[in-house]
Amino acid sequence: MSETTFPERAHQALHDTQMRRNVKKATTTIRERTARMAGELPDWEALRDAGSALKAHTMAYLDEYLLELEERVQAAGGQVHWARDAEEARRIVVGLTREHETDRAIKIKSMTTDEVELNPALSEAGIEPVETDLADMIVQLGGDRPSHILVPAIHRNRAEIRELFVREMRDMKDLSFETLSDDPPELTATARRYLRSRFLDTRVAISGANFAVAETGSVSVVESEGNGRMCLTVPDVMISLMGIEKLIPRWQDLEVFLQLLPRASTGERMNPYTSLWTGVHEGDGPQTFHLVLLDNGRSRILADEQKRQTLHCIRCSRCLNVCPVYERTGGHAYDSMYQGPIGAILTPQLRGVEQAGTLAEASTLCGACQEACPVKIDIPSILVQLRGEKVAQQRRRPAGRLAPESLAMQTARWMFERSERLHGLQRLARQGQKLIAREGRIDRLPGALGGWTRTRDMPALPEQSFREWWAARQQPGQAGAQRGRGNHGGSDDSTG
Amino acid sequence: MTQPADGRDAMLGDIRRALGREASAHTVDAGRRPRQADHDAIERRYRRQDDATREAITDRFRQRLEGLGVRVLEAAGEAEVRGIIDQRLKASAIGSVIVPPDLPGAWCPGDEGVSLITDDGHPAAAINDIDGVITGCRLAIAETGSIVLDAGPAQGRRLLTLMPDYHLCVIDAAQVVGLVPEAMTQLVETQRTCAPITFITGPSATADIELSRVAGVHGPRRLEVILLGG
Ligand code: SF4
Repeated sequence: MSETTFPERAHQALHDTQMRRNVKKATTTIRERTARMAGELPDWEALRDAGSALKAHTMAYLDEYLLELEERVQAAGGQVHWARDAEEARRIVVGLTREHETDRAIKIKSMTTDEVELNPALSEAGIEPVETDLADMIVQLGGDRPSHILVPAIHRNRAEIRELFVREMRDMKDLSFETLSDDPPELTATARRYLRSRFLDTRVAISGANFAVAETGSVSVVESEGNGRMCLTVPDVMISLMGIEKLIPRWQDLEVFLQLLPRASTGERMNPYTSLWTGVHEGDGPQTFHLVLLDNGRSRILADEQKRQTLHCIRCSRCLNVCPVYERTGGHAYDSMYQGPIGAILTPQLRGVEQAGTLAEASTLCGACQEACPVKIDIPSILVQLRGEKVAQQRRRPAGRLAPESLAMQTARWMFERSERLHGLQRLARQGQKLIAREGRIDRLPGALGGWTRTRDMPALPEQSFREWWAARQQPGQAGAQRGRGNHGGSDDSTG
Repeated sequence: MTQPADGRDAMLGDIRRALGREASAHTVDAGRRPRQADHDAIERRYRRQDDATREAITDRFRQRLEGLGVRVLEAAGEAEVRGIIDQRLKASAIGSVIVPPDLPGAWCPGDEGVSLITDDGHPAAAINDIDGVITGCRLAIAETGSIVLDAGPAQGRRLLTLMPDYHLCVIDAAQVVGLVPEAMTQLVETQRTCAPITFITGPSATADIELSRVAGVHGPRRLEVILLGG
């Protein structure tokens, strides 16, 4: 729990220019790299067209492809489960984990498991979820929250990380903490040894999935660090939770997405590790495999042919990196682990426009996202459509304009109209950040497919929606109290 | 059979309704093109075959590997491989290596000082104590600098190339394809799509501590390639 007050943290955050610079540098670097990697391919546009067409085709035949996937996975020795909503998904995954009488599960962090809030459910059931991405591990050891979508542990400097390791890894044999320096390679090596012992003595692993091939029943995880490979190889049991939209029809179709995703996500020609497995492989890897198919609002999105494109998203996060609004507001404004332009259209549809508040307002409709999107999702048009629906719905209600959501919408509009207002908000929203950063090279962005993209993806919901925070801010007396409630390690760029 | 406890039929019903079809598993829409035909109609204007020369493809592969921090060693023929292996193991201070049971004899270290372990289902913890691994691969992709393993000949189980800190991979230049689609086609044609497959592109990496890039978090920190007949 945080011991400082909000004003103190805000004060500190205001001075935290190095952290801002780092975050900015990360975003700029990634933007340049993805542009270079996309531009390098003479057939990038043709790949985007094919990706878009393949996704549209898959959605139109989704039921048939899901049945094909189920059949193939079962034929290859895997088991398939269907979860209509988050609650069902949690029940299934916790139940399956329990069957193996373990008090620990290793995880490749995934947006989908965050979407259904799996970790708290596991903890409640007495199963410790161990995040295995380096940044997520640092965040988890420190008991705080990811500070930025691309650089989740950027709020911890090397000296703090060293202290954290010394404190939390004490029980590790043959690690000599007396001589441990705060050099990143040495810290990384320490994390490697610490996690290695977890990999070796944990029986159950839980992952998301980047793709699943209906034709063969193959599932794919795309990553950088190798923790995914560990989870897919060492434990006895693998449980993968995937949104039904991750499906692709045929094996050969992977050639399109395996080119689009890494170039658009981390700006690499290919990410370090891509794993594909089909059911269980005798004598190689987990001998029990469960695939959990998650709906949780997705089938609703299918119903509208225009908005259906939302489900084409391959979670590369490129639209976030090019979005001027995201750059200014950061993650909190989106009130979800799905952020940026895609979050602005996905969240309202998953939760219902009713619940989505001001999200559809969070765009200037500049079109940068659509241009950047590797599968050409027409995000601006969907935003416009969602705004229309929202307004229509509000008119239907008697208290229309005075409804809190409507007021919040007006607030948001006021904000997005003037960038300096945004700036002020952005600064104030930062808190608790103490990065004494040093220069570093970013050749490859943090963790794997940086961003909320990869399978290790992203953080929990922010404690406070933008709306609530805004309301509190207008009453200075309460703002501190409200912000100080939790140990919220995030900045406004953060995802939580 | 499905477990009664889960939402399979309800979910499928929801999806079918959303797609404007009857919510029953057994109705076929008269007006709908069969999905196979619809899939075949998807336009693929991207490159599916690299028309560069073999030499250019090998060169590109070499460049990509080096760009990823992978040391590339050239062997004109099989006879040179062992010598290179011995020299690299020595230079990398590798005292023990594990190899898949079907690794060609010529790719095994000749140095008596290196303990050679042939995999016969060793537990993960045992492999964890071994310094290095030598394998071949299924194929490699020049465009991306990727090495593709499918647990086939000379590759062994996935564990082998994951636990040790050093991976030496012997690749015949003829195994290098130009583009990603060619790799996928080859895996289809050789019926390897259902094998456990790993694409390895450079050593693993993170920049999670103060944005400093550090190679090798969990996978081998050092990856070296012997390019045969390149
Ligand atoms: S919507 Fe955004 S995250 Fe999704 S594929 Fe397009 S650019 Fe990537």
